[in-house]
Amino acid sequence: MLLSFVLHSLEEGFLFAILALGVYITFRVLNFPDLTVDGSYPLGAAVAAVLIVRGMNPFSALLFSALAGGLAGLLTAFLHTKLKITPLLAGILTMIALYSINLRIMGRPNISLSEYLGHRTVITILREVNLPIRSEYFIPLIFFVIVMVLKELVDLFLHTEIGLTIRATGDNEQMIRAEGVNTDTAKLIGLSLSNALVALSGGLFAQYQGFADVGMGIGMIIAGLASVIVGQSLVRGRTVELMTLGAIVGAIVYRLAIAMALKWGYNFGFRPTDLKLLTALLVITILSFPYLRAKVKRLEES
Amino acid sequence: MRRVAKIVTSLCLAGVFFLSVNTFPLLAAEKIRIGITQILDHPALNAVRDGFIDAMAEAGYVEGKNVVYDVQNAQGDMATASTIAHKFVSENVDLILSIATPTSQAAVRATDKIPIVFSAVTDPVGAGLVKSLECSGNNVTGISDLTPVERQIELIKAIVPKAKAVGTIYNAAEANSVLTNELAKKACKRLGLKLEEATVSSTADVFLAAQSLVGKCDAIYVSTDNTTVSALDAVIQVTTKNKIPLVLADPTTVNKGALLALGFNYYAHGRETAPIVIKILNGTKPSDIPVRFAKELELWVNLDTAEKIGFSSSFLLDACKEFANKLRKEGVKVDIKTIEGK
Repeated sequence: MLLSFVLHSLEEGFLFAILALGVYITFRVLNFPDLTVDGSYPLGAAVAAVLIVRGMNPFSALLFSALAGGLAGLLTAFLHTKLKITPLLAGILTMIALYSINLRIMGRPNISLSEYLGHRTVITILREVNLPIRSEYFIPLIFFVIVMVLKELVDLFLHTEIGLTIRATGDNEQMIRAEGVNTDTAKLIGLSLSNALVALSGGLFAQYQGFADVGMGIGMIIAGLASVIVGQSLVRGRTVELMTLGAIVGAIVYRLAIAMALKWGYNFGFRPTDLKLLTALLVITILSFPYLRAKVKRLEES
Repeated sequence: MRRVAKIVTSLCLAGVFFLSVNTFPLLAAEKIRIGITQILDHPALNAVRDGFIDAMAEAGYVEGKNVVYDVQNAQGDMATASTIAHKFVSENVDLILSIATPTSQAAVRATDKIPIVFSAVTDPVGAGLVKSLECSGNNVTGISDLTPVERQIELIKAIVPKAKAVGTIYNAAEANSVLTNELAKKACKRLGLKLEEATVSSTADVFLAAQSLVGKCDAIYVSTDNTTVSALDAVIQVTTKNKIPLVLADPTTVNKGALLALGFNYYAHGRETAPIVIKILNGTKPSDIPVRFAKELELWVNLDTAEKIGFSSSFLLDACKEFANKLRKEGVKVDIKTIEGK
């Protein structure tokens, strides 16, 4: 019973890990605080939902989610590089524009992907696969594989020439501009890749929860940033491989913290209205753990 | 070092103790366990929950005695709504009461075995919760909070017979509001009225939206839109200043300064959910219980507002009484309540 709850929380964690990978690219690699996320996440959900309702294969629909997210990232990058709007404002502008665009795409604020309406999602297809292991274990495994493949691809990409340019742009823009490198292109590519991942995460989550809602994006950038930062303090190291791993670990820990708060928090006198406070407390506990452990170690030695 | 180890061990023991003490009542087999999942803290949604729990207690299902509630709130986060649903399923609760659309969708997604009773959902078929209103065909049933839009527009026509246009404010991102707005459009067309729409995306936009309707309509109608109802004071400022009759779907906020309200209150809505839940607990299959709509309406007349906007109180009361009588002839229960002028 507890196992199935943990598995479901892990599934959610893996889906958020895709978003965290995207946020890692803008926030850490490109050093660009990109708020487009709150709009591109529901954009991915909206595109996937509309296409599935129209009868498209749910896997292909995800490709279009990612594509739409990439376009959203391009728009933010365009506003910033060509129209010289500051990064924060460029992200905010795309985000608020996407709110209306998402409503246009969906045609209404909430689209159900329920089997009762005859819709098929990635989840329904995975459940039908005939395998010796139960779908309860199979689905989180598949999600895990998807996340690790995406991580590998992001790692590889960041080691290509374009990837190195993006990293250099984030490290010291002035310097590499002086070398004659076009940092605008680096930003365009980085932002669109990041938002493609975010939208892919949104498209998958809509299929996972069985509906797309225009309000899905609220607070997603906060969840993404928290995941990246939590991951960074849990997985130490400055290499790309370790940092992408950190983003994934961070997203899982963040979702597990919410799941733990929901599961046990209210046994200790907390109330449902305290959910966010409780989540914050759990994350603080996890973050301070390495420090406390070091302190205990020092006490031991003395 | 020893001291540290001691502290750690005792903390662990204390933790285990707390866990076992607090989860013990949940493990007691003879109590019915009901998981309640709510999307966010909102006066109407809280009222549904309270109404349900109160009505259950009156029917003999007393919290802590023979029923245990696990009340959860996603605080507006849809991913958390999904986590909550899976939590209930993993604990194999006896029944899930889901309040509002996204939480109901998340619950339906999480289980096809545990009975689910939804409430405060306007369009259960469109949301993919049930196959049809008559027979869900699954483990789900519930009560729709579709407000009587047609009646509300008819009421406007009854109190302002010369009206040509009705203004309305709603958030285009709220699924329920889009549906009620479509119904309002249809009703207006049938009655020869024009519907002037103003959409908002947050409570901050409501004042401006209300201003934009001034001069374009003879009355303003606010349905069950959460955003607009949360910022109702802004609408009332505009309607009072410009002497425009304001008609609401939500009876609980009419005292703020609207002229009329026709609808049901959400506490009563929650109470109407209890008999459905009890039926299921007694063995009826959810698919054998058709989705219900609110049966009892309240018509609130605010004479204080009438005075302020220069609307004849005696005409208003007569028109409302006549309107209520018409509805009663059609078999609707209507209760007229008045707020006296100062």
